[in-house]
Amino acid sequence: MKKLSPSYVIIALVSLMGLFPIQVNLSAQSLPSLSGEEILKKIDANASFGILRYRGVMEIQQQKKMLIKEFMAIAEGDAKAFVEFINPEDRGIRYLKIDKDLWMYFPDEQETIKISGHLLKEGMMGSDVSYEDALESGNLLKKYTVAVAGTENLDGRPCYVLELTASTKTAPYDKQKLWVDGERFTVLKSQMLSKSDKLIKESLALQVRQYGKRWFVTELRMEDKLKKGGGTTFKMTDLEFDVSVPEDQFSLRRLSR
Amino acid sequence: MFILMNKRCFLGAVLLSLWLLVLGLSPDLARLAAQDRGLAWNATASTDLVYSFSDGAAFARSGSLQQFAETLQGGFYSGLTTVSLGFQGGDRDSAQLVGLVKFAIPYGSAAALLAQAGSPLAYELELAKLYVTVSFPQADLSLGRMIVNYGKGRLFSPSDLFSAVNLQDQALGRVGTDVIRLQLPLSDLAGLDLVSTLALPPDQAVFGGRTFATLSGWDLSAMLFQNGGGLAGLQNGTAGSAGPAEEPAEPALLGGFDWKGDLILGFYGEALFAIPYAGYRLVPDRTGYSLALGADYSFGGTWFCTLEYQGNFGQGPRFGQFRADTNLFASLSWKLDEWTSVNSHLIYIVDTTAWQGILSLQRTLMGRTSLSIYSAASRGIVRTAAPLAENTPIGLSFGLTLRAAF
Repeated sequence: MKKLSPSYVIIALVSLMGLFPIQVNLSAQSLPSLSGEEILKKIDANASFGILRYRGVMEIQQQKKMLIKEFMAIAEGDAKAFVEFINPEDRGIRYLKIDKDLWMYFPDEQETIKISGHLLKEGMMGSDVSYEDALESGNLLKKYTVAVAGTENLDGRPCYVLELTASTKTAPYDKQKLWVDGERFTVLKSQMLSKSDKLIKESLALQVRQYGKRWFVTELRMEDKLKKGGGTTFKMTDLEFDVSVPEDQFSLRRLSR
Repeated sequence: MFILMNKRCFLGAVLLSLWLLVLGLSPDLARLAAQDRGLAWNATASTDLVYSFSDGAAFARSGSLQQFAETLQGGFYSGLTTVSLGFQGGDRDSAQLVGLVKFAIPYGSAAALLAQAGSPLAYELELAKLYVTVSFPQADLSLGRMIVNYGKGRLFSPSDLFSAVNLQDQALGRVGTDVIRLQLPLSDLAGLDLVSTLALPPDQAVFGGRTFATLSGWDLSAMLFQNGGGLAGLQNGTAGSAGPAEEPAEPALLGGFDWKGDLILGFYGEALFAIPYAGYRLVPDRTGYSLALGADYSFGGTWFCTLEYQGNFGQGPRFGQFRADTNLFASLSWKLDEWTSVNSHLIYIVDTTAWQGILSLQRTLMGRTSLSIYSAASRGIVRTAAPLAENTPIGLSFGLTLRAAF
């Protein structure tokens, strides 16, 4: 059998590469070296949007019982949010978040109340997502010091592992550990810890989708490890970015109208 | 001394201003497209079964099992099945219609009370809410029966001129009244709220305004209202039975401020004054004051407590639902899990030693259904300042409420 010349083999391989581009998958070891601050800034940049509108579902599970809460939400960055529940037992209950302040509106009583600080650690509508978790505006750098603990593969995704330590008393958790997708810069897993490294809460991204140039976690599971069993699955659907809303969308007037 | 013009003229001036404002906004009406998106409905159904004793202390006096059994059999049974139908239609940016109708069938002693009141029907029909809101870019105008909820307190809220707490409701819900209301936003977190009663004769009308704002995390507001004399009757009507009926209808100028914020625990309060009229002149020497303070806190996300105080001072008119000098309220809730909680509250009137308390266990059975088992006790009437007779019995009742939402 005639031997193929090496040059012919090389030309054939190059041609094949042109027809079938080889996808280079980064492994955890090959992630570029970035500082913790740089990674957090990339997460913030990925999550930055003008105004986002979506339909949300919270499935609150405890042992064998399940509560389902449905809502419509409009958010402007991470400083403002307006949420209205649409499931029958909570229909019309609304939340307004502006920076660190949170108000609730109860349609039956036509009453607007400001949520007291001590209630912010409570789960929203009975879920494992606390008001504080929901309120924690981005810019973790203002409340935590961050260090890159290394890299890991999480469900096939190469991730940076960040360790955050509270630098202010207002930080909701003493420590946090984040697994950040090294390509998409979305948080795939996070652990909220006490000073003694006791696990308080853990969240896991179940679904990540691409919208234009950004990647968004559209399904998240949050578990309160201090409670026995259960957790809350949070789903976002019908996402619309940079929508136009009334000027008074994030106001007490809109909340009670 | 303060001299006011004739009260009718004053009322007319206020209403005229409102009309001029509406007319000024009317060019915007032409730009408002008619919105017909139908009505969205929601309903809740509940049944409430109660077994009551007019003298609950008789159990403690029972010397034998037989006496205990006789006391137990001496109670009376009552119940109420209620279907509430709520509807909302229109568009928030143009015009809305909101309504809530309650249809209730009483039975047992409750049905007998209805018959005694001369009602020819075996049921009650209540229009709890029915109002229209027309929204302009600069203001919202509402007309009809609605709950105008100003207060910061869970129970004690003297600034709640238009909505009274229903003490028969475990959740201490509020009741609506017929008003016209103009809300003017000054910013996203500040505004002006002008309200006037509709159901009272003009010379007894209650009307005025309240301004509110959020500053440095604190919700603050100030109010000024004219009470033409109809306020006591208004609050009687919304509060239901055992209202402060003994207070005369005294015209007065009402004003004050309230706040809510955080001082480690949630802290809130209301301070109001009432200056009565003699003819058309204010009499500051007879000013009445009301101060309500409250604090709430939670422990470990499991225990929630609220403490409130309301004091009434001065020789002047008293307003609000609780007329005694010193009124106390305490509430304690224990959340066992996301579906189960134990709740309790106690109202105690220091001057008269009247009190009212409730202890309940609430459980969510499935997504839209809940069950509540409760025990309530009371002695005297907590709303009044009238002294309590020594032999006033302790009323005791045990009840069960099943509720479903649709």
